[in-house]
Amino acid sequence: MSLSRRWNLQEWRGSVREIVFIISVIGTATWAIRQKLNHLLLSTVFMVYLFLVFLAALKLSRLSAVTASIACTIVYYYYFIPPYASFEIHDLQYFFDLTLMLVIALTTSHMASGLKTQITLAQNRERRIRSLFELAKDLTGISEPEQLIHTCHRFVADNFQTRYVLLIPDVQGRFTTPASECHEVDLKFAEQILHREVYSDSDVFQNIAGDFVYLPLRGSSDNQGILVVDRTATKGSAEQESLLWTGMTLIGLALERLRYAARARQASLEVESERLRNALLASLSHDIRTPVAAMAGIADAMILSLPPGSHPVHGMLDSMRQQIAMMLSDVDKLLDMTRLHRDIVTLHKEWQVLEEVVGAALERCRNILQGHEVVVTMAEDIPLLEMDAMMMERVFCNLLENVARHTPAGTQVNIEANVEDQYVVVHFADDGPGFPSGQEEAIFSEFVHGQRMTGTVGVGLGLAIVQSVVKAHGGKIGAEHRHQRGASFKLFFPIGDPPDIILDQE
Amino acid sequence: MTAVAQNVVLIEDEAMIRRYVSMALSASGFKVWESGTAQQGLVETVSRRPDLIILDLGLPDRDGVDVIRELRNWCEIPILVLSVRTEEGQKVEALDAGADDYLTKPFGVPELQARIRAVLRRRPNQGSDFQNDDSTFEFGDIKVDRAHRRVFRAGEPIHLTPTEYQILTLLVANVGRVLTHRFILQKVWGPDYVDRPHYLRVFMAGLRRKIESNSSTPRHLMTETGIGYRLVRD
Repeated sequence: MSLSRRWNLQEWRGSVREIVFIISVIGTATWAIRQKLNHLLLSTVFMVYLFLVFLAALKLSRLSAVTASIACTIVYYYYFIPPYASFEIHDLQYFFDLTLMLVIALTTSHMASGLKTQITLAQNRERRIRSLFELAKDLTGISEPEQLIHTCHRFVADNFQTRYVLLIPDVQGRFTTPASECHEVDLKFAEQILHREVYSDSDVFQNIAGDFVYLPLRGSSDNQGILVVDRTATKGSAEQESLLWTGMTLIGLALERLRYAARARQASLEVESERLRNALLASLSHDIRTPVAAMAGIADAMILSLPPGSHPVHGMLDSMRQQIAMMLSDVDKLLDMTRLHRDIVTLHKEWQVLEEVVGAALERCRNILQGHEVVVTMAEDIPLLEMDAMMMERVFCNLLENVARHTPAGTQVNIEANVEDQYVVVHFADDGPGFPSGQEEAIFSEFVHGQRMTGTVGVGLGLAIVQSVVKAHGGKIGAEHRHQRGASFKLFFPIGDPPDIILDQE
Repeated sequence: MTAVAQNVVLIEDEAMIRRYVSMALSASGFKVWESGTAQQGLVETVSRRPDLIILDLGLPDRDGVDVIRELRNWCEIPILVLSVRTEEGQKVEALDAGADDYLTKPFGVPELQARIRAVLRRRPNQGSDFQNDDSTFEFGDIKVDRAHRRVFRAGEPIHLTPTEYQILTLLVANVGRVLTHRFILQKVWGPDYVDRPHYLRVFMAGLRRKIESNSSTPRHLMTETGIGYRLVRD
């Protein structure tokens, strides 16, 4: 209130100064005409006064213009119309002159003030556009959040002279701006605004809490942050609101861009470290494999060089051979997993007879399954399945190896295959101790071990490989802990479109 | 086997593998000539005239399959290739190029010896004990009478379709040796069928059901995954 009163007083003083000025100009002009230019025609004198009124209306306030026109009329009649030095008016003509003078004053004044307003508006508009242009230019160049905050600060400070807080959410969509900066700001409310759906342009200025209005910074898909400004910042002016709103959209998009850039950087970092990890695994696998293979061979050669008959060293070498074989199989799994991760496994899919694939796996695992009984039951109507036989053999081997590792000798393994709907289902079950219930998902993770029943330790990749390979074949796998009845795995393979086979004429 | 020590040229670049293979071969009475590169191996082969070549497919100086092709241009010396696990395609290529058999690293010495025996045995000029000329062939409780085109299981005749019989006799003629899908398809069905291994698989499954006591755990008609089949006698 005090501010507006002072402003009026100033205006008032300005008007008084203008009136004094215009009257003194009229006085001087009258004096000059009467003393020096008294031979002038009456009409010329009238024109001089009219010109003065016109000038006053053009350059000074409306009040001064009116004052000038009245003053001119008075002076004109007093000094130049007979009877001189009197206000006696004989004729309607003089009223008409006065009216004309007033009309010219008011019309000119009105036009001039309209022009002035237009200029002011144009200047303001230009300032807003320039400021938006500057903002857009600054935002294109930024690569760090700090730069964005700085740019945003300049934009608000230049255009709105108000208190404000820029809130940028963290990864979880929460605000962590230091409390000192925004003790009056309602962070809870800001979070609500942040997670609200898209607004129409008009209702964003309705998000008011306390002295502040909470404006969402919109990205292309969702809100990127909140700008909290004093509710008087725009003074309700539509142009200022629109400036603020456009600026915020620019800031929102810049924030979104920064966020995507950060995400892309993070992703490329992860890819790089994954690549390094895989390269390390691959070279480790190879470097371990070669000497270990040689060790196995040397153990064999030593067994051969022993004299025939049961020698005590024979058993030792034999178990050494077994341990080495186990180790090799683990290294192989590492290599498999690495290759699966790097997507360098191209599946060589051919139409396979499931029984043959299972049979090959059983043959390969014959040594480690010596203490176990395996029963295979295959339905007659199992169609050809399109699969990579090598990879699938490894799948069954890993499952069999799991049984060998985690169940005591004498455990029975049942492998059943039959057709269910559009799938061939291979049911793989043992009557061993099973795995802890609740672990049905976790056992497929990498480096997760089962109970170490046999005292041997695997790297825990077997089931992860099984899952990856089955998925790569468009199939799925489920694990089940059967209380007191061991572990059970169900593998589902989609039935494709097997080719026809022309059989022999019997 | 024979009184005179047989010569083996071993071409393998990894010193540790070379060492133990030559240890095992020496223990079995072979005379081993080692070389670390294909070039040196070829020179050894020319000068030693070995009875067997053991060739690693992953040599630093030359592609192993190439070496086999070159050897096959001028000699019939049996070739046993060594290969790593993940190179099925290369193994098949090597076998189709003329290699006699393969071993996947790591392999045990008994495995190596068995392969060498089988490879040496089936060469006609090696004084073999293979009954290639006999009209009957027995494995397990199966007896194949080629003169009368009949097959018996524990003395009982069993019925095979013509294609099954052809596959079986082809395997019998190459007992102990791995036969690639391509080879069998070409011999039994003809060149138009070499890209249809599923034919072979379906017929093999039928054959196993008739020959094996348990078709899902075969003891004689062995699958070499990704490569082919092998008839194992015992």
